[in-house]
Order: sequence, then C-alpha cells, then structure tokens
Amino acid sequence: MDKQKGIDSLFNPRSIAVIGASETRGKLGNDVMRNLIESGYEGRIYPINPKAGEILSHKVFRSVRDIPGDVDVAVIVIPAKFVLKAVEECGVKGVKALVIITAGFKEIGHEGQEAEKMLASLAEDYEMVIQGPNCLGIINTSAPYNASFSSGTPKKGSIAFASQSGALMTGILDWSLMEKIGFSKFVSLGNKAHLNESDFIEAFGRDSDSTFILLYIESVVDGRKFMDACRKVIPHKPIFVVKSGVSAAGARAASSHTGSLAGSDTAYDVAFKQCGVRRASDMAALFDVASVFDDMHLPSGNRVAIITNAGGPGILTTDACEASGLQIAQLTSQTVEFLKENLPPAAAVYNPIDALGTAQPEDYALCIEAALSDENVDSVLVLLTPQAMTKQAETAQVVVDAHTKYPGKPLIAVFMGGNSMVYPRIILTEGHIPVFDFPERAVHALAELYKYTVSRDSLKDESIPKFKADTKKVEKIISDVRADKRRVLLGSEAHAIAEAYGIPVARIRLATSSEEAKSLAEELGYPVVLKIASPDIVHKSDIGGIKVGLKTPEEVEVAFLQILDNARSQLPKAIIYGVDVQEMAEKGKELIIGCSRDVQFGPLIMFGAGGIFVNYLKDIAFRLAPMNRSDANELIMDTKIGTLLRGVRGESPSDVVAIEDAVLRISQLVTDFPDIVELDINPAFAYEKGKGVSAVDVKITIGGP
Amino acid sequence: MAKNIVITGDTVTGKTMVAIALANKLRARGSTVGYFKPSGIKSFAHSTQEMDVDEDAAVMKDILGMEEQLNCICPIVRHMSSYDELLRISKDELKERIQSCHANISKNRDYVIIEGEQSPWRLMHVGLSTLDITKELGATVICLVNFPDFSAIDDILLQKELFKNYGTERIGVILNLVPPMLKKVVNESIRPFLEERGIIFCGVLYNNRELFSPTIGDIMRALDGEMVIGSEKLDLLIDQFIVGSMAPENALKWFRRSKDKAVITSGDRTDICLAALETDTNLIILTGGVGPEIGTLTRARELGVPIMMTALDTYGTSQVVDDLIGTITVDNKEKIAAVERIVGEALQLDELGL
Repeated sequence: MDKQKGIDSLFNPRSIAVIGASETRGKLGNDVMRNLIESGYEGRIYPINPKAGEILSHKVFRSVRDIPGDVDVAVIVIPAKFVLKAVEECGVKGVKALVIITAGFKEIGHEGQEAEKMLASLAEDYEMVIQGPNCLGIINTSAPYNASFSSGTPKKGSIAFASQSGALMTGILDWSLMEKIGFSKFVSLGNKAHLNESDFIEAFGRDSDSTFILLYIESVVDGRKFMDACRKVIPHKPIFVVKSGVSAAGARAASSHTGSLAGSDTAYDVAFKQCGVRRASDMAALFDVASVFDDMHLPSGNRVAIITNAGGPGILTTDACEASGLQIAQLTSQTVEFLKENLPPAAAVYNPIDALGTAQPEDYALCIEAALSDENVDSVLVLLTPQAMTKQAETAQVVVDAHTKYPGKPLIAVFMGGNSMVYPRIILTEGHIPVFDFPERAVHALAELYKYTVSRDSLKDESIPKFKADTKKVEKIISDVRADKRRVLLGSEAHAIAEAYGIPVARIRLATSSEEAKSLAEELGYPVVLKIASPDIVHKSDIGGIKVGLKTPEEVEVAFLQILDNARSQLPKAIIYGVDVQEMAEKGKELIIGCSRDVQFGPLIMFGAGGIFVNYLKDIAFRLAPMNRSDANELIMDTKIGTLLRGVRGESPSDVVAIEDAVLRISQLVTDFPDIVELDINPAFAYEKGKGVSAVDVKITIGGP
Repeated sequence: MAKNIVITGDTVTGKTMVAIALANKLRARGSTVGYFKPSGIKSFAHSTQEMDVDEDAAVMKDILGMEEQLNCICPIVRHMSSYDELLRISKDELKERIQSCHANISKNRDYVIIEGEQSPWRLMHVGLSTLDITKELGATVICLVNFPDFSAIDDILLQKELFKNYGTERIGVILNLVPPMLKKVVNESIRPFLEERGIIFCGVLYNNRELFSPTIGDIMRALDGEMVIGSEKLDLLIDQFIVGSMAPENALKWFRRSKDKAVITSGDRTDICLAALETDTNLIILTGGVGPEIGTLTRARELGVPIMMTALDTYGTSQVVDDLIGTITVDNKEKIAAVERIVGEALQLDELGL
C-alpha cells in the first residue's frame, strides 16, 4: 500500500471523526474535540459516542458506520480493549488515516503487542494508515487542525517536528509559544505500530509547508528505510535529530522504555553522517538551530563577521567560531575603509568589529549593514553588552531593520544581560531575529546550519564498486559450518572466505596431525606460525595456543604437540579441531578491519590501528556497508593511522588503494552474506605503495538458524 | 526366539545412551524390544526395603514400558560391600537366576538389549563376565570403546581377541568420545584398518557436548529455580552458559558466538536480555530474585524463549551450572529425545545383521 497517500489524507483531511469524543471537561475525548474546534479546522467534525446527542455543538454519531458522508481521518481515544473493533469499523467505512491516541498496547506486554500487530495488519487489509497508538496526536498548522490533547496549538511556521516522546512534545509546544517558534506539522509517533519516523520524514520532505525537519527518537524501526528516506529529503531540507540513549545507562533506559534492543549508538551516529542528517547533542541545541533556521536563510559559507561593543565577548565568540568550524571573515578593504571613516579611531575595524562601549544604535546600524553587504561575509553575529551609554532597545530595532534590508544572510543577535535585555529581546523575537544570552549557543547553532549545507553538498551519487568473488565457495563453507552446528569459523575457513573475495591473506591450512602440519609447512614455506584451532578458544596466545617463527620440521612437530597439550590441560572442555599452520607474513603497518552487524542498520564496518592495543588506543572509525570508494577513503582518513599511511617524515606512503580495496571487498562480502554477523581482521599488514596488504588473522562468526 | 544384543564398554553413561538409541531404532522398525542387565549396582536412592534397584534398569523399564519386575530386569544387584558378596552365592544359583529372568524377558520379544559390564572381563570370578554371558546367550556384541587418540586401536583388538576366545568370532565396535580433529583419519584410515581385521564398524560418537548438555529441567532443579515463562520447554538442551554483565555494545558480539545457550544476568538488565533474545538463546536465567521487565517478557514470549528466575546471585549461579552434566535418570527423561536423535544418527547397524 502507498503509505504516503495515506499521510496526505492525514495532513489534509476533509472530515475528521473523533471516536470517544466526550462532553466532559478533563477527558481526553473532550480535549481533542476542543482542540479541533479551536484550531479553526474547517472540515466536518463527527464526534462518535454511544450516548448520542451533541458535543460542543456537533451532532454525535453512535458509530463511524452511521456517518452519512466520507471520513478521511478518525482520531481514536477510547479504552484499549475497544480499539481493534473501532479500527475494523473504520476500515469498513473506508477511513483513510487513523490517529490512535489510546495507550495500553506494546508498553503493557505481550497481549498489547499482539493487539498492536493486529492494528498493523488491519491497516494493511483496509489500506489505511495508522499513527500511534499511545501518542499525543497530530497538529497541522497549515490545514489548520489540531487533533491532539495538547494544551494549546503552536504558532504557524515551517518546522516539521516528529517525536517518539509525546510528553516531550507538550513541553516543547509550550516553550515554542513563548519563543515564537512556529511549526508546520507536529507529529507524535507513539508506539509506531504502522507509520514510523521514515514515513513521516518522507512526507515532510514532500510537504511544501515544511522547510526544516526536527526529530526526537529513541530508536528507528528500520535503519535502511530511515537512511533512504533521509537521503531523499536532505538535498532539499535539513533534518536535525536528537537520538537519546547515548551512554550505556541511557541505552539501557531506552531498551527498557521501548522494549526493543537499540542498535549501537555508533551505528546511529554513522547512519546520520552517511545520509547527511545532523545530530544535535541535546534538545536545547536542537531548538537553538530551529530558532535560527525559523527566521533565517541558510548560510552560503562559513565566514562570520562579529560586531560587538566589548572586547571580551568578541574574543569569546571568535574562539567559539574557530572551535565549531566557522571562519572569522576577512573583510574587504572597502568595508575596512568605510568602518575606519565612520567609527571612532579607537574602534577595531577588522573582524571582530569592536565599535567600543560607547557604540550607539547608529554605529551598530552602519557596522551591521557594512558586514551584511560585504561579499566576504556569509553571516553576521551581533553582540551587545549593557554599558553606561548603551541603548539596548534602539539597538535591537536597528538589528531588525538591517535584516529587513538585507534578508539574504543569517543575522543572529547575542544580547548579554538580564533585566535590561528582556524588552530588547522581545523586539528582536518579534522582528524575526534569533537572539541568545551567550555567544557559544549562537555560534553552535549557526555552525550546525553551515555543516548541514556541507553534508548536503557532499552527498554524491557514487556507485558501489563490485568485485569478482567466488560466492559459491563462501556458501559452501558457511553451510558446512552450519552443518557442524558451529557459529564461529575456524581460522582456515575464515581465511578461505576472505580469499574467495580477493582479500590478500597470509595463507592458512588446518592440520590434524603433526605429520600433516609438517607437510603443510613445506607447502606454505618456512617460517610458519602454528595456532590452536578451536571455536571455544578466544584468546589463543593466553593459553600458549600460538607458536611463531617456526623454521624447521622438527620445530613444527614440537610446537604442534605443545599447543595441543597446552589447550587440553588449560581448557579441557574446549573442542579442538586441530592446529592451523600459517605462513608468516612480512611485518607491515598494523591495521584492524572489522564488521559487526547492527540490529538496526546492518553491517557496520570498522577500520583503525590494529594489533594488540586496539582496545586501548581506540584509533578507529566506522561506516555502514555497502559503501563507495569515497566512503572507504574517508573511513581510513578519519583515523590517526590514516594520516600515517600517507607517509610522514620521509617514510614512503602505504598502499592506501589496496587498503581501500580490502575495505570495499569486506563491505561487499558482508552485504552479499547477511549470515556473517561478526568479522575481524586483526592484524592486517599494510605495505608500501604498490605492495598491497595482507590479512594475518581473520575471524568470522555466523548467525541465523 | 528373541535376538540378544550385548552392549559392553568402559563408560558409564555411554552404554545406556546406546541402548536407548538402539531400542528406539529397532522399535521404529516395528520390533518389540526388551532390556536386560544381568548384574547391576544398587542405587540407594531408588531401592526399597523389599527390592534392590539398579538405576539403569529403572530408567529402561520406564522408557520401554516393560511390565517385568525390576529384580527380573536386573536380577543381580551388587552392594559393593565386600569382595566376596557374589562368591558367597553359588555360581549355579547366579546362572540360574540369570537364565530364568532372561527367559522371562525374551518371551514374546523380538530383541533383548543386554547391558554388559564396564569391561568384558569384569565378574569373571563368578562366571558372570560379559564374555560368559555372551557365550551363554549367543548374543551379538557391540563394544563401546573410548577413542581419545590412536592408542585405543589396541583396546579394540584386545576386545576382539577376548571374545574370539569365548567363541564369538565377530564383534561390532562404536568409537566413543572421538575428538573432531580425528574425524578424517577415523573415516579414511582407522575404519578400513579395523574392518580388514574382521571388526564390524558400527559408528562414531564424536566428542559432542550436546550429549552431556543439561536440559532446562536439570538447570531448574540445580538452581532451585522457577520458570517465569517456557515451563513447557524443560527438555531443551543448553550447550553453553554466558554471564551477561558486559556493556550492551559488547554483548551481541559474545552472544553471537554460541548457539543453544543460556544467558545468566540480573532481571534489571533489559539491554542484556534483549541482546540475548536477538541471538540464538535457549534460556535466560535471571539471578538475585529480580524478575524480568515487561519489554523482556514481551519479546521472550514472542520468540518462545524460556525465562527462569533463581534466588542465587550471578556468581553463585554460574558456579552451580558450570559443572552441570545432563544425564538420563529416573527423574529426568527430558534428554531421551536428544539421545535418540544424536546417538541414533551415529549408529550404523546394517553389518551386524540384526
């Protein structure tokens, strides 16, 4: 079914039924009715209640079936046990979209979850969409209508906001009325039984009333769908997200709240990055950005002009800009000359422009206008401190006027102070100028908008490379391991899989007797390494399960027997498959390349400095597979070892192209085989340019039935 | 006249497992099968004032639904109280008891599976060794031989010679507890080597943890636990135990490495429980008496994964379960299906001409 068509009806209904409408104040069914009427909804409203009569001057129907005309949207606010029946009736009636406010579903346990599954299947059967259950409702300021039990309706604006937390929305709504931030759509996602964040992102993307998308989520339903939806929207509209559950304790709280295992926060971070979504660290940052975007155009670059009446705040702002990736603009000579001519001699006319403590509104006006008209400036920050001669209100007005004259570039006010700044801030807010108390938050919000433009522009349609690979061989190995009832592959099997995908490996063979070990050593060429082969033994070297640098058949024989003895005596329960014989790879730069399948986003590829210190250095970066060559290159260069690989202090550069190839081949392998849930190559040795890489230790775990 | 099959071997659990699997196979062909254990050892837990009971006999009586008395299924029950407890009874009397009970059991049955001693020569001093019994009853012999390494080849040859001296020309052999690393050499070299020497190769039991894995029922009894959900799945086998106390991002990595596992964690660790449920988990054990959160319960119910609660803490729980071995006893028959499947698959009986 086409969910987007359903959402179109949800956004612009010609008629709304309120199932569970009530005459009694304080009941949700009454709140919804009143909000609907008070929001100025112009379509038909049908209250549904078994007690017929009238509610708030609207004729009551006993059932949706009794309504004479079509119904586009039904809002359901009846106890959970009656919901399924009501939904079914709506289906029969041909209702296009349902908003189920009622709680008491997945969050109360198994029965609730089963009911929720029924909701989703009814939705599919009758080709209708369902928002919720367990949600606050929906508000569309441009229809206009408010089908929620919120207290109040937000100001009309261009921000579309969807939230997994209904309670959070009520707080934000209230706050936005004070801050004069407007919304186009206000959607409470609830339990996401049918419609989820991805559907609304796509709908917001298509909605001409929305120019900016904000999300609060605890988890996404389908990682891939989410990324696809965001990629479609990002070129036209910014998406800013707060995703909670960052810390271990936070993630635990989220699991406990949503009842579903959240993907790793790293995976979320990478997913946002790869589809151009900006992640805000907290709600305050999210709405700082929103408040700037609500009034201003996006900056066309990162060059900032700072205008101030005090040195200290100017320096603080400069530091904040540099830290956030913004640049202090170099003003054109015309601007500098103009300022020199018009400001007192003691004023600083380079950026930051310090018009001195004596600065009057006229001084501010000429500085702001000069900055806004300077071609080297992309946005302007106006700082004001309350000094003896400062005229706060008049200066605020000057800022408003300048923006009216030059609306193209972002202009942000930072009016530092308390009581004396209350009225000036009102002037600014009324005049559509975002205003902050302190510079750091203003700079951060501006920087975030700039960074959105960067990530938007860096989304490219580069194709995913496709290497030749022996998939039959991989299939065979995996099915053999499965038949042996194992999850963990032996070294020889894992290496064979890597080889089948053209990843250069230090060759490895399984020996089940010392004689076989000797003949394999001859075949591979001395020196060799011997390693215990047992899926039950994780840390091989800790139990004396590895012997390196074996140069003769005698050494191989002794090592073989010693390794088996060590394993048997230290881990008697471990099931031993033999001893792996491996050729010694020439030492290179130690790297780690790994993959762990995230529950939400799929294969998460890791790259970084390898060896035994991985867990301590943590010089690693991540990307989601499948990836293109630019992704692979960025992944490598995101790490410190990436810099070293380019060659430093006269050292010749490493074979970065070969490393990229290895990363891309792994990306292809784990995409082709969802059975592979964990993969680790540690170490992989990287050699000089042209000499390639070698995977020394490959570990693979499979999942599935 | 019933056909007699003697199972002999030096493992305690192995013989009964083979007997169960063998009986199951024969019964699947529509044959009637009885069980007979000439001499056993008194189980103080199951014996009564009136009767000395051998535990294997009690288990098999139950499994096969035999109506004979236990002192007929296992007529001689030793107390292991003195070296001459059997010598004091006359050889003739012992023989007579065995013959009459065996006659009883073989009546109207196609097969009688006879469980022998740990080694064929045991009880030679009273003429009750498996060698004697085999000769007496004209039974087909299956020797269960532990095969941890190549040296066991000689044990097999010795057994063959022993039986030959007692008039049994051909014996069947099952190799037991074979490490998987010997798979290739056993199939390609050792099997033909033994067959060339006139030994009938009846299968290999690899060192398979599953055979010794405890069931959820075993664990519940050991921990004095209580099933929150899944009480109908007490016969599920648990291959490994993992203590879930790691950071959630590492949990998946470890949980993915093993299948048929039990995860031991505290009830408030919803993240760990959900990660466990995301992977191949047969049981969640919640310690410290802290019950599951609703999210865990919902998901576990959806996937049909049992949850057990115990009052022990996580450390105590892991200590108890660590050495838990699943065997078939009178009180615990949950493993029977698994034994019939695993051992049954390994048995190759065609050459025995049964």
